[in-house]
Amino acid sequence: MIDIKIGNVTDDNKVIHKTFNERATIAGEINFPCDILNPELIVSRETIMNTDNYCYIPYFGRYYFINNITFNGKTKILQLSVDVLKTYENELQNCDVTVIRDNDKPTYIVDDKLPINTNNYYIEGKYLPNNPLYTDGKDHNILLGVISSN
Amino acid sequence: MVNENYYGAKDTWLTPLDYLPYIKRTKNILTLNIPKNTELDKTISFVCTDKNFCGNYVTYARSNGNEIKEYAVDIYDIDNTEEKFLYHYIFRGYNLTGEKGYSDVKDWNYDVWYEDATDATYQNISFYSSFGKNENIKLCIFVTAYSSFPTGGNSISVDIDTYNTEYKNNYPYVTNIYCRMYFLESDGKYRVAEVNDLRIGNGVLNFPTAKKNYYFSDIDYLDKILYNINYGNGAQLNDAYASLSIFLNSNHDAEGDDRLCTGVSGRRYIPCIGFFPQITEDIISTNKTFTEKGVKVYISDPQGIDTLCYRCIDLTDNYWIKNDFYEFCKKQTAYFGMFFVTSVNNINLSLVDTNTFLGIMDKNGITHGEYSSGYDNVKQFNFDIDLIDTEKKIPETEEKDSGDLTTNLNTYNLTSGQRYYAMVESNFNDVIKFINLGYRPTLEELSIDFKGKNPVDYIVNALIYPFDIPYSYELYNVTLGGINVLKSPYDENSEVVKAQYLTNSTQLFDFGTIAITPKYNDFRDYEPFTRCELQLPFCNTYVIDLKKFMGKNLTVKYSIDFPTGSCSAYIFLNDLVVDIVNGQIGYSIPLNGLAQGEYQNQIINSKFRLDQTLINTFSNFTNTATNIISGNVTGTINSIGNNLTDISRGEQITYNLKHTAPNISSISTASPLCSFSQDYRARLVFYRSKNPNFDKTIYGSTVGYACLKFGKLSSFSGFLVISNIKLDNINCTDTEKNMLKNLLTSGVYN
Repeated sequence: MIDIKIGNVTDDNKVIHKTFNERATIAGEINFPCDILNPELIVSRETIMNTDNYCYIPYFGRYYFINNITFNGKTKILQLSVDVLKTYENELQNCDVTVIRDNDKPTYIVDDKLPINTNNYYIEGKYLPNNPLYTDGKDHNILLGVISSN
Repeated sequence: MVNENYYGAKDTWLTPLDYLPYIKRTKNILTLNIPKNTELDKTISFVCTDKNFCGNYVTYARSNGNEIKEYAVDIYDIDNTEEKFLYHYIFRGYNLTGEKGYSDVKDWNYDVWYEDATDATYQNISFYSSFGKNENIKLCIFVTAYSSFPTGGNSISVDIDTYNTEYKNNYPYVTNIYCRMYFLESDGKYRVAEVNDLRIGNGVLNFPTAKKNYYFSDIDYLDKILYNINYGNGAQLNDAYASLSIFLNSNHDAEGDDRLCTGVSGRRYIPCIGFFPQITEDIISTNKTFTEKGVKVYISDPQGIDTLCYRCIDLTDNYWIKNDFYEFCKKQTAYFGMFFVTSVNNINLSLVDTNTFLGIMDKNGITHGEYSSGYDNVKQFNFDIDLIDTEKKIPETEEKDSGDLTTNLNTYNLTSGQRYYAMVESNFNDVIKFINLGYRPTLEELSIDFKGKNPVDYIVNALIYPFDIPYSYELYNVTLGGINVLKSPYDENSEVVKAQYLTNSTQLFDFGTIAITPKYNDFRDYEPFTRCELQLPFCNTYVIDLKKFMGKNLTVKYSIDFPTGSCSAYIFLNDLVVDIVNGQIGYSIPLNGLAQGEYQNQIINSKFRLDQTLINTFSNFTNTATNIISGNVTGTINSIGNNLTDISRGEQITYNLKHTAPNISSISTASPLCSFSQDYRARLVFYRSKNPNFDKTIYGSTVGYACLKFGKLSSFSGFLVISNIKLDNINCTDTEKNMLKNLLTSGVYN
């Protein structure tokens, strides 16, 4: 028999730091053969509630999703799958990563998923500050070039 | 007249193009750096708003001038596709030395005041400061608003909270308040509202509906005191919070407004702008260091809704109340700004220097300013334009522009071999008339080789320009091959046509400099999402490579080659020419018929073959003359017709050819002048992809914005898509490592 810390999480599966609402520690029996990443545990029928969807098994040192609960008379069989994000949440923080998308804001990296209507433009115009070619009158505006030695 | 004692020497003023201070908005953060080696002993605050952006900033320096702090500004960006407007603001506070102070507190004279509307409630723009002892204070307030800002019903009133305290002899007096309100008209210009009646105290400054045609760009007007409110004997400011309360009249009912607070005097108000010392006993102590000052800024709109723009010191709730700044921004149509600087003196906490800032905000929410230091501080207060981006950026190197990056353009003057006349049209027509009516060589000239004496042969070209070309002061005879061009060609005593000389063969024309600045500060500022072209008059449209020019200055200078009419547009990237676009700005006035003139020379010079050639050329001459006659010419061609009849007989032909050989030139004015009607200004045109409205929060948290950032996972938060991870020091199975990598690359929440 091993201890199972049973409870639930409401966070998305992809949340690393899930909030584990631990409800109780129950006893369970490993259903052999056992895959440590996808174990099956047999527990008493009364120890599981409908809200339970998550657990921590100290013996394996891992957090698990409860994927399925199979009724088997006086017992229930829990089919689990390991939650690697929660299990290694602390170790992950020290890992070097390259982030290519985040929820911050657009950057200078072209975002091909950002909805931009490249078929529709709006136009902005800005004059340069000076208008040097403009003269109020056009008085001496004709040039006559002649051959001359002086 | 600028009183330099008030504002500092005029030459210390910067031009509006000197962007000081320069603030950069990065999402919700605005920062402004002050170089640490600047001897600061001042505090500065300013506020700026528009419909879509509100921001303000406070910085201060301790009285020892060494420690510098900056306060970031809370900026609320409104997702609004409405075009942003330019806004101007200025608020000026200063004091003077040398003026005699007032020693007594004067009471209000309520009989003098004028109430604008009996049911109007007041929005208080409070000004708190610890002024110097027995110093006279003059305050200058400028307000800008939309032209729709209701006048008559809205006004600015100025009140000074005064009462007797035991400190009444230690604090300054307000003697004058200057106030100016600008209205932003629909044509984009600001006009100053007239003020008929200004009062101080519980009175009201009335801004009438009539507006004068003062333009905000006329900076000189800022030096003119439009409203000199002589407060009589002055009003002493209170000690603990020497206050000048400025009420903005509106229809806003302050009751129930949680911003409403009560001053020491018992007056209830909503603090609008305040500059206040920390309210402790240290303030009035001469032994303590003055620590911090704070500013709160409120803005009022025509509906009388006030919102706190900024609060830098979090005092007790009795005085400073937070506000929903964002909501207010959406309703913002008028604003009030203050830029106030003071230095802090350890001894008496007096104002020893004041500064004003005239700010202009552009559509990107960036302020550009003109800054002037006070009379006792010649050294300019130089803000180091340094943008702090506290957000993680894509990795950038420290490489900066370096090397020889300056292009100097010169002009060139062609002085030999040719002469260029700069003519008015009437003189040019005289030349044409002279040519068309024919030149009569003298018999002596006929007996010698006539070649080279055809005046038309000496004309190189004639060009017309859409503007005045550079011309000399003096007039000169117009000569062609040494022959004076006469106004009346058949009259040897006729006046000679005169014209000026072209003074410069080439000349540079500077269209000025414009900064190419990003609008989004992300990939959307570049192709293909944003395209930019530079329209160059008389040249062509030049495509701006935004990768090259972004964040840099674009300058355009034209070099015009007057003898040929060609122009070259030099495109500068900062100070370096990176491209040249050629065009044509002077258009040639065709001088047709020169071949005819040459032909005539051949006829005349061919004495021995003269008769024969005459017979052969007669028909040619006739045809050519016909062509000339039928074409559009300036000048008369009647003489050609007359000569045709005269040359019906060979001898006559010979004689006439010898004596009256006309220099046939057909001058057509059908030159391509279409470009003369085009815009003469250079213009940048940006084409930007439209951004549809979408929920940015959901996008960020489910799709994520593309980026490229490196670091430890612990330094990132929120939704992340990770492309590479080095799974060190994780004691897990290989399958679990693959599971981790798969999850991280598909997106996780940290």
